[in-house]
This record gives sequence, structure tokens and C-alpha cells, in this order.
Amino acid sequence: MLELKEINYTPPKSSQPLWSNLSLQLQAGKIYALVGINGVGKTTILNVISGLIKPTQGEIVWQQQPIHQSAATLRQYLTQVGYCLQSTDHLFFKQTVQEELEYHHNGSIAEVVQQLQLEPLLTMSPFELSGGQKKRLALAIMLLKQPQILLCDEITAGLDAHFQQLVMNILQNYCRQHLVIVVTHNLEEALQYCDQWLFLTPTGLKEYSITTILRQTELFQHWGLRMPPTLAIRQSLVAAGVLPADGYYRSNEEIAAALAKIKNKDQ
Amino acid sequence: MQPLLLQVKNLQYTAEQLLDLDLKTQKREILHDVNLTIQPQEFVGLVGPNGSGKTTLGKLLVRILEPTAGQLIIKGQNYHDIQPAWHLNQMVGMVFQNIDTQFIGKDFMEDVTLYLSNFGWTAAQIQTQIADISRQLKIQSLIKRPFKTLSGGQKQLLAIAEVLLLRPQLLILDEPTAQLDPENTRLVLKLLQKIKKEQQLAVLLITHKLSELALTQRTLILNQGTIVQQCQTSELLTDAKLLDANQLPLPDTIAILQKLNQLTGQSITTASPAVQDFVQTIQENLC
Repeated sequence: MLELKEINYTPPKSSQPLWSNLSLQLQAGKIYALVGINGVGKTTILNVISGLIKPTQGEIVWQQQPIHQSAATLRQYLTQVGYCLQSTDHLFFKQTVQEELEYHHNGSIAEVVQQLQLEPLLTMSPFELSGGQKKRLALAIMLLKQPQILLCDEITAGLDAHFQQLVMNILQNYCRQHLVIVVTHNLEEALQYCDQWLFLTPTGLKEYSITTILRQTELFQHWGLRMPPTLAIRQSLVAAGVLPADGYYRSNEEIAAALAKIKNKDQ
Repeated sequence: MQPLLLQVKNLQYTAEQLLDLDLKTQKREILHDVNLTIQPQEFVGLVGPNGSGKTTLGKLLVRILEPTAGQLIIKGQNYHDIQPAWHLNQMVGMVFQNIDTQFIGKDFMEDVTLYLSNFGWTAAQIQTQIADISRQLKIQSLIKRPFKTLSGGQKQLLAIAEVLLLRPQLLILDEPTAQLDPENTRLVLKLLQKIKKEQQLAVLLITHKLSELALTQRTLILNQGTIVQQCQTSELLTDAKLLDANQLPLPDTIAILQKLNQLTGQSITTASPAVQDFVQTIQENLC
């Protein structure tokens, strides 16, 4: 379990902390979506959780051990963390994608190459890849390392629809045994794949289950975010008397299935 | 019929990749047999899967890269005949996805003063043009702020403004909101709508996003290095098969209809992706 205890961070050259003190307990079993308005500090909190920056207040406890207790505990913690930053270029330094993957893993890379469909890219330089391809390579590197805590900052930004789905399915599988936190602006994607939402605001970090999110859509406006289209479409269909008011759906596919049920019932 | 603004004929681009320090190289064909045209003041979308060559095509159109074969013609002039070569920058400009790489100065004023003076503009001309574009694009509050204090969307607005200062007839935008959050995306889309309404220029919009594509009249589909199809954007946005075939996201309402049709064996279509049209279609077919 990862615990944030009264965490806060005051940036250099600033006298103001970014938030009110944040406290949270996180564990494996579900993908956490970290959401919030622009500039609220989502990437910063990820940097704090990753161990890259030290909180100016509070502590981070992993498996009952404060990670900043000593250089040794921090070193140990860092070996457990995989962090896919927004900008992936910092991660690469080999001449080809294949060499990059082989550097990070002594055994076979075949499985992760197949998972992320990297075969066509193996002989290319990581620096010639498109933005989306770089993201897939970064995630592949993380999967080879099998970190206990996987942090992803906008991992699907720049990916087309096919690879967005591929990546999120991989993370859904990975979170069963590992702690996964994704920062995302794609609330539609968070709705479909993330069972636990963390709303970050200057006044705190509020945690909601997906069940609550589906039933309390006013939360989006309250936190200054736009409601995902799936929820807006559901509302319109309920208002038009097409769908029942007690039906809740996490994706367009689930809405379609509900409509198909209505159609088949009528026949 | 008005003369074409841009013509691309049988364009080919093969990249030469350095393999190692022995200077061995490997060739990789990125674009082949690319043919397209753009009319003056036309908004055209360019879509395609990751790695299909969209950004490379953009770079060829602003002559950051030289084609291996084929012709690029702007306002009836072949690119190679434009002298001096930098005159092309006054006809076509490009804004990249990672706009931080586009800025040299600490703020917009410093940045544009530097590059416009390199074009031979006087201080008075530079001041007049900056005042003009700031007023038109409503960016007066941003032009003296250091770039590092600005959000991604604000920087994107300034990057677009910098290119528009040279009054190009064609603006190429490479996934302008890909790295932006929804709030900044709305900021940039609002600017693009303003440009469409008020500025007399054509735009080639490279995108994966339907919200950006909705601004265009026509869409070119690039796949495996060549234009495989072009169509009216409005047709593309309601054609689930075409969107799927080109790994484009479906508008949510179209995605729901596609799945519904699969589950029920029907072929329900809707007039547009708008939610109210979709709800009406569902009511007519299900209830």
C-alpha cells in the first residue's frame, strides 16, 4: 500500500504551497485516474509520488516505510517505481528501438513487443518515432521493468483510437497486481477504464469510486471539468424517455448494448 | 474556378537514416505518390494513423525537408523557382506540435523582433504588424509575458500568431491541441474558428481529433505514406466504416450507432453526429 500523509509541496521561489495537505491510501487492484483543471499540480503530485521531488511537508509511506527516511530507503523505493513522463525523449539513448528494449531487460523482449505492437518499429531510432510511438515504447520499457508502482502522465495523448484502447487494456491488466495511477485529461477514457478517480484541487484530493461518478455527474461541474460525452448522451436519452433513469453506462458500447436490449425486447 | 493555392504532384520522400558512426545508412520510404490540391481560403484536414507521414508531409510543404521526387507548386510557382528561398515563408507557414521548440526568445515580443528583423523588416514595421495581429487575435495580454509563465494553450496561440505575422496564404497546423488539456484546447479551437471567419487564408490541419476536424470542409486521408482517399469532412464524420478503417475515433453518437447496428443487424444512420439528431434517430427507430 502507498500512503500519502499530509503531503504538501511549495515550489522553489514561491512562498505558497500548491495545495492544502493531501492524505490518501492507494493500492493495487484498480487504475486510479488523477484528474483536475489545468495548472492544479497533477504532474507535480506525480513527481512527488515518484520520489523525484521531496514533499516540503508530510511523508510518503510505501509498504509501511517512509520513502525519504534515508538515501537507502529512497533508492529502494525508486527501484519499485516506473514513471512514464509526458515527454518521453529523456528516456531513450540507444540507436534502435530493439536495443533500447534489450538494454532494460536481460531476457526476451518478444512478449512486450507483441503486446504493444512494436514489431514494425524495432529497427528504427527511438528519436525518429512519432509522438504516439514514443509513448508506446516508453510503456514497453516500464513493463519490462515490472515496477510495483506505475505512474503515467497522459500516456494516451497523441495515440490514435486503436492504440489508446490497446494501452488502457494493458494497464487494466497490469493494475490487478500493481498500483497504477494515470494523469489524464481524457475523461471519456477515465470513465471507461478507471475504477477510482482522484480529483485534485488546491483545497485537497478527493477520491470517488466510479459508481459515485456515474450517479453524481454534477461533480464534474463542481470540480471545473467537462462531463464526458458518454454521460451527456446518457442524460439526453434518459430525458427523452429512451433509457431508464436507473441505468448507468461507462462507455458508448454499454449505451449501445442497452439500446439493443430495448430494440430486441420490442421485437 | 479560382486558381489553386497549392498543388502537390507525385511527391516522394525517402529518408536516409544513419546507422552507426561508420556512416552506413539505411533508406526508408516515408511518402510516395502523394497528390493533393488546396484552394485559397480552404480549411482541409489531414488524418491518418500514427507514423503515416503526416508531419513529414507538413515539413515538405514548408521546405524543412526536400522531396526525393515530385513537385510542390504554390500560387502557380514551383518551390524551386522561388527566389530568394525565404519568400516561401511569406506564403506558407507551419506550427508544430511541440511549440516550445519554435521559440528562441524569452517572450513573444523578443522572439518575433528577432526573426522579423532577419527578414529585413524595420522596427516600425515590426511594431505595426505586432499591434495588428495582437488586436486581431486578442492576444495583447500575452505578448510581453515570458513563455515559461504561459500555459500550453497560450503558447500555441502565440506560435500561431508568430506564423501569421508574415501573412501566409497557407497555414499548416500539426496537431495543435494534441498536448493540451480541454481548457487550453477550447482556447485554441476558438482562435481557429476566428481565423476561419476573419482571416483570408487556407489551413491544412493535421489531426487525430474530431473537434479539430469539424473545422474543416474537406479531409485527406494519409495511410502508409500516400493519400488513399479524400472526402467532405461532414461525410467522414458520419461514416463509421471509413473512420474505423483509418483508425480515427468515431464521434460518440456514431460509435453508439455503429455498435447498435452490429448488435441488432440494422443499418440506422443519423443526419449528423449532433446529440439532438442522434436522440431523434433513436426515438424514430427504437420507440
